[in-house]
Amino acid sequence: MEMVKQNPAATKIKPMLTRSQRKHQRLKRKTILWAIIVSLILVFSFFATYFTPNDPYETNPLAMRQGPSAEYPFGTDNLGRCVYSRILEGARTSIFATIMLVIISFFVGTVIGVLCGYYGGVVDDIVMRFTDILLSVPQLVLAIAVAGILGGSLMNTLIAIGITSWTSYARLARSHAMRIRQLPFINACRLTGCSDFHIIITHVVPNLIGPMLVNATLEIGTTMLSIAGLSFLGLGVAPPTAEWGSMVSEARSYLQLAPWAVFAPALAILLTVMLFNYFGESVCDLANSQEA
Amino acid sequence: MANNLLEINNLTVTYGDFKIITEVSFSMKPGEIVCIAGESGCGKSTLIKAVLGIKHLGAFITEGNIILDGRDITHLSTEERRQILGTQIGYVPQNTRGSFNNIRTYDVQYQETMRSHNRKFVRSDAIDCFDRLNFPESSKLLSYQPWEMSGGMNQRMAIALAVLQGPKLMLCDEATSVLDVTSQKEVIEELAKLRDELGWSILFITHNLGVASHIADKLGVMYAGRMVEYGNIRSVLDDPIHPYTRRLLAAIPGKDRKLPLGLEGRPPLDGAEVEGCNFVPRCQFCEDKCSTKPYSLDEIVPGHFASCAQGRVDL
Amino acid sequence: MLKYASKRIIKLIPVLLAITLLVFTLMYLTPGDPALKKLTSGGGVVTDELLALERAEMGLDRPFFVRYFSWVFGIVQGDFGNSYVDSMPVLPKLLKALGYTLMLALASTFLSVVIAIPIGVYTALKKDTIFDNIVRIFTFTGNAMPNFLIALLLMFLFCIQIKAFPVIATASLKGMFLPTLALSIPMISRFARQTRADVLSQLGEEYVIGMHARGVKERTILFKNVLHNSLGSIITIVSLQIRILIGGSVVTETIFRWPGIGSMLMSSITGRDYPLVQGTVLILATLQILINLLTDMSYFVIDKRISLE
Repeated sequence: MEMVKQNPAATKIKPMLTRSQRKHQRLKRKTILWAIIVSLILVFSFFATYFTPNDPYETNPLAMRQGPSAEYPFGTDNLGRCVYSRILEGARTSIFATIMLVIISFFVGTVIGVLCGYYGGVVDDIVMRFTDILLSVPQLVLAIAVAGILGGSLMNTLIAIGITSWTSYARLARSHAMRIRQLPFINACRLTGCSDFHIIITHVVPNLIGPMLVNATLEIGTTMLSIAGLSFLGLGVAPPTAEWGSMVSEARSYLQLAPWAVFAPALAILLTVMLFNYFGESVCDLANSQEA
Repeated sequence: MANNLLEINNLTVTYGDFKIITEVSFSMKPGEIVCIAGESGCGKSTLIKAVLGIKHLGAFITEGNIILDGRDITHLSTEERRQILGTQIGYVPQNTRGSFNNIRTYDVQYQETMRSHNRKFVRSDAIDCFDRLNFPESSKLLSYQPWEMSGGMNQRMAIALAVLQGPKLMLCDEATSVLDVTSQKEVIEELAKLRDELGWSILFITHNLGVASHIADKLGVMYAGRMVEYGNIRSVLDDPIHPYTRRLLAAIPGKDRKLPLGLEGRPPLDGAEVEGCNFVPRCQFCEDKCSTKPYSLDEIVPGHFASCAQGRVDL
Repeated sequence: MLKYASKRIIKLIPVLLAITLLVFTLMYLTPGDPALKKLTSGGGVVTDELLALERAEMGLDRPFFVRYFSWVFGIVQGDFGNSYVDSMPVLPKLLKALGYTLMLALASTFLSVVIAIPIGVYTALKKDTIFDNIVRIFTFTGNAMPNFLIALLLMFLFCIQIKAFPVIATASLKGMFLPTLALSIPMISRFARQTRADVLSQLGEEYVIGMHARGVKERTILFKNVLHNSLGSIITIVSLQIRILIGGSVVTETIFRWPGIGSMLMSSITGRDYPLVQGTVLILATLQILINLLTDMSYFVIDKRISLE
């Protein structure tokens, strides 16, 4: 047995094992980095309104459709308002509306999905048929119809998209809950007399919250694009309010004269969506490497 | 030695920057069945990968060479390699789903294989071949897709395709180890029959010494990247020389319901890099010289080689 | 197969009915009186008497379910009602606009598939090379781009800067070019990413080694086997993208003023032309459902293991 100690192989085992662990560590660091960047952006977007160089709502007839300059970094729009300041001012609305919508649909969808998946039965059938119907109307089309009818306001935009967005979370949560419900330890819990509520809270939810959160982070970008699309069509916030999608919408008619007023807010959307997508993807990669 | 079909000389194979096999040498005559046995991880599958030489497999030959029918095939170009694969070297993998695309019919896959070597695919030839191998439902087989078939049948379809392609050397990588006993017997008998009829040489990798004793002419035993014993099957099985082979034979589960004798410890991961005997840490007979004497496979009895530094130890 | 299709189509009827109810309820709940809107838009003084007359003529004075069922029965007979704006039948308008939208949708889907699949396969084969990385940056950006940004960018470049195209797309081949391109760019990004991922995972399958070991030509392995097996998930993403495409066409058609069903939806919403809104939503939903059906059936053609139940 002493021989085993001398065996140089014993020390060799380490680097073999750590190869996948090292990859996992790298992904973890990457995800943390993105999480920090995303939270910085969130914090910044919340306070951005205090960093505007000019009043985002002040019109200036003398400086209409001016190109980018030291005073107006991204130029001015049709009414002489500073595009840069309006982008900063709009960050809170655009980003927070997205995050709010994702959180609410995540919450509603997960609760409905878990209950349907755990209990099954008639209610489950009805809810699932209902989501079938909602999903068979193209999402943006339904949202346009709803937002158009409710009238332009941020709240109505969120409602219009929220009507369908919870369904994907509900379906995912339902399929996980159905799988978990059949695991042996859930049966064991039932036999020891745990209540359904207790089982759901302590066993079902913790086992599905991971993949659900991964899915939610991946959805942030898409949700932002949907909101921007509706705002662009003039179904978002009411005109004077600064919001990226509606800024593009307003400036579109004079694209030829002041392209900056169109492209600056559009690029702000693009960059933010890319950022969220990077974050979502790294979270997803991390989750996958944890599974492997 | 010109009449050897396959000669492997001093082969060293790495996987990434990890040495898997060192200094393995042996040769095969036409019509010979050679079994290579050993624990998982000893490098026996890597040996097959090295002979196949498909670059996707990642096995990289750093030293030594492989000679097939007088031609050095160690470093062929991708296209040269493709031309000898199938036509000169056949392969049956361990995974019964590993030969065919699961969701396309055998018919198209047989066709694609033959056409890749500019040969015509004649359906009746294939059906004749199935009949010769006693496949059930031979006329309908081609229209099936692999997922509709059992694992054993898939392996047999792969063998049948090899019959059509006509290689001289077959490589079988644990081709029967995931099959149930009946299909295992079918496949093995098929291979033995084809050796008799077509003169195939078969390099058969297995951890099942029972299977080996059934069909093999020669048996090689590998341990941690090295060939520790090689010789005629009877000679090796009845009169093993290397302590590892002895323990391996003792580990075969018997019919007497006794648990087989195990072996303490694990094979070293870097066994291929050790200069001396790499079985030393687990060997009950080892002496000081065992760790220092460089590895060599010596002929102890005529036709029977072993790498034990002490030659033959008496029990 | 046919039996399955007819079964599915029969099952679709309640779904379609539910959609009509959903759409109709939405319109019913909408604040604002279409009769009033119609009268005021015509100019002149609106008296209560005139309004009541107009409401009766438009059928707005009847109870909810009467209105709903008469609408549904009309649809069954091919009558989608008359537009509130110009009192013309809705159906011919819808079909004409649908034709234009389908033209764009088919062209852009075709273009995307033709461009994206070779790119996806190639980047999978050349994984982690410079080319792969450049393509990855492009597809990642394309994936995050709002529809309107692409459309406006194309318009700015091609119509304003180099003046190669008129700003308003005419319903011609030349006019189709920019809207098609605008719809294709995000789809190309997504298809290429999906194809790359699928091909990569297929290349790791053991049968690929098995085929190499038989000396099957690389081309055959790649295009007849790997791609064949990847088609299932490529079709999934294509059908998902068509969903998004239908929504995206609203934005793109509005920007290029393409006379499709998307811009019709927008104009009918702003004009409170409910029969037209109901018609467009219903037609688009039907289109979507048919695409889903086609998708499910094509899975079966690729992979016989998938049972049609």
